[in-house]
Amino acid sequence: MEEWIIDILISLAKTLAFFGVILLWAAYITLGERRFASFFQNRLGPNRAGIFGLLQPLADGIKFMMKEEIIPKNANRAFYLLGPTLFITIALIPWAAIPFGDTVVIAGREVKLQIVDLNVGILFMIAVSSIGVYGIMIGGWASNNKYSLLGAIRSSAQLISYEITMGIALAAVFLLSGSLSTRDIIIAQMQSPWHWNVFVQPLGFIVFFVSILAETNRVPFDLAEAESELIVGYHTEYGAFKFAMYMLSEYINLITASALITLLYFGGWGIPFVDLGRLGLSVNLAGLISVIVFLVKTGFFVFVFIWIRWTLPRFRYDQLMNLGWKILLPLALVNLFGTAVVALLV
Amino acid sequence: MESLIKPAAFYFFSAVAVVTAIMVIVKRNPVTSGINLVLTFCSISAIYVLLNSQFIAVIQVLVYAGAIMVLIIFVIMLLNLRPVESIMDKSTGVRIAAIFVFVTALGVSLAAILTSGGISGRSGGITDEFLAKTGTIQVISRSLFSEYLLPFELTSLLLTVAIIGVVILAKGMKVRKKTGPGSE
Repeated sequence: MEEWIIDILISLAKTLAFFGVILLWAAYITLGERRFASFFQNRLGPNRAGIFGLLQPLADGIKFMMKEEIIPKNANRAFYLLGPTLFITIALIPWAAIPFGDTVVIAGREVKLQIVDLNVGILFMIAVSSIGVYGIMIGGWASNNKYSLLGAIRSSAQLISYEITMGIALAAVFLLSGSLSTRDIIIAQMQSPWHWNVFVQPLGFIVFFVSILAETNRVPFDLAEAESELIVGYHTEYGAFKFAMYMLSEYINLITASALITLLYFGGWGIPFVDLGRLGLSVNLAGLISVIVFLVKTGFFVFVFIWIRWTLPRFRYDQLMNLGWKILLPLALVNLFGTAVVALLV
Repeated sequence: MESLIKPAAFYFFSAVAVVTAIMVIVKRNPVTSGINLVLTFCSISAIYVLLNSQFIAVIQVLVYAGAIMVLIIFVIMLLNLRPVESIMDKSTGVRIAAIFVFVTALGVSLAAILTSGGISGRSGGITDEFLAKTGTIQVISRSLFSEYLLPFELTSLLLTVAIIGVVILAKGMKVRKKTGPGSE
C-alpha cells in the first residue's frame, strides 16, 4: 500500500475510535450523574435496566428516538434544527487536539494517540468552544419562546465573560511550558508531580477551574437553565432527539473540560513518581497504560463536576457577573503578571 | 496527493467565503446575515490554515467568529429585529450608481491582479520549512515585539482607552456627580 493510504487509514481509525469513545462515555455520564445524584440524595436512582442500571443509557437513547419530533409552529424551522446539530458538532471538534495518551507503534510506524498535534492545540480548542455558543444562541432564538431567548442570552453572556478569565489563566500555563501544543504542555509537566501545573500555578488553577465550571453551564453556574425562573432555559422547546443532542453535547463539554484540566494542570497521562519510559515496558503497553491513566484522571474530574452539581446551590445572576469580572479576572491578571515576572527572572 | 487536496480545499473554502459573504447582504433576516458572516470568517480562517498560518486562523475564529460576531448577534436577538421588508431604494438613479460602483470595484481589483502578474504572490523568507522549524507563533511574536513594537503598544493603549470610555459612557452622569477620592 502507498504511504498516504496508510496515513489516511490510521487517521480515520483514530477519529472513529475517539468519537466512539467520547459519545459512549457521554451517554454513560448521564447514568453516572443520575446514580450519584441519587446517592447524594439518599435514594436509589435508575437501577432496573441491566445490572446497576447499565443499560439505562441505551433505553434512554431508544426512548429519545421513538418520541414524536415536534417543531413549534412559530419557530424558525431551519435555525431551530441547526441549533442542536451545530452544538453537538462543535462539542466534538476539540477532541481533535486532545491527546488520549502517549505514542504506540502500529504497522511499524509511530502513532500519536491524538488526532492531530497542532502547533496551536489549546488555542484551537478554545477557539472552537468559543463558537459553541452559537448552538445555544441559535437554538434559544429560533424557538421563538421568551424563556428560551432569556436562557440563551444568559448563557452566552456567561460564556463570553468567563472565556476571558479562562484565556488569561491559560496564558500563564503557556508561559511556563513555552508552547501551545497539548502534547508539549503535558511533557513539560512530566518530570515529577511537583512540576504539575496545579502546584506551580495554584491560583491559576483555581481561576481556571471556576471558569471552566461556568463554561460547562453547570451548577453553581447553571443560570441558563434555572428551572424555577426559566423552565429549562435555551432548550425549553426542544424534545425527543433534538433535546438528546443538546444534553449529550453538554456532557461531551463536561468530558472536554475534565480532559483540559487533566492535561493542563495534572500532568496528562503521567503517573506520579513513575517514569513509564524507564520501566522497560514495550512501547504499546506503555501507550496503553498512558491511555488508562489519562482516562482515569479525566473520569475523576467528571466525578468532581457531578459532585459539585449535587452539593452546591445556584448563584444569583449578579453574583455570577461580579465573580467573573471583579474577582476572577483581576486574580487571573495578577497570576499572569506574577508568572511572567518569575519566568523572566528564573 | 497534497498537490491535489490543497487547491481543491482552497477553491472550496473560497467559494464558501464568497457565497456566504453575498448572503450577508442579500438575506433580509438580520440573524441569517449574522450567521452567514460567521461562516465567512470560518472559511477565511480555513484559508489561513492552508497558508500555514494556524495561529492567525485560530485567532480569526476566536476573535471575529467567537467574540465580535457573538456580541453582534446577541444585540440583534435582544432587539428582536424583524426581517426587513424593503429598505432598498430601487429608483433608477440608485441602480445606475450601484452598477457603476460594482463595475469600478471589480475593474480595479482585476487590474491589480493582472498587473501584479497573477495571484501566485511573492515568496519571502518565511517558507513552510522555516515555519515547521520555528513555529508560527514564534515568528509572529518575534516581529510583533521587535519590528512592530510601537504600533502594537499604541494599539493596546487605544483599546484600553476605548474600554475606559465605554465604561464611563455606560455609567452615565454618576461619575461626574461623585467627587473626591474613593468614588468609582
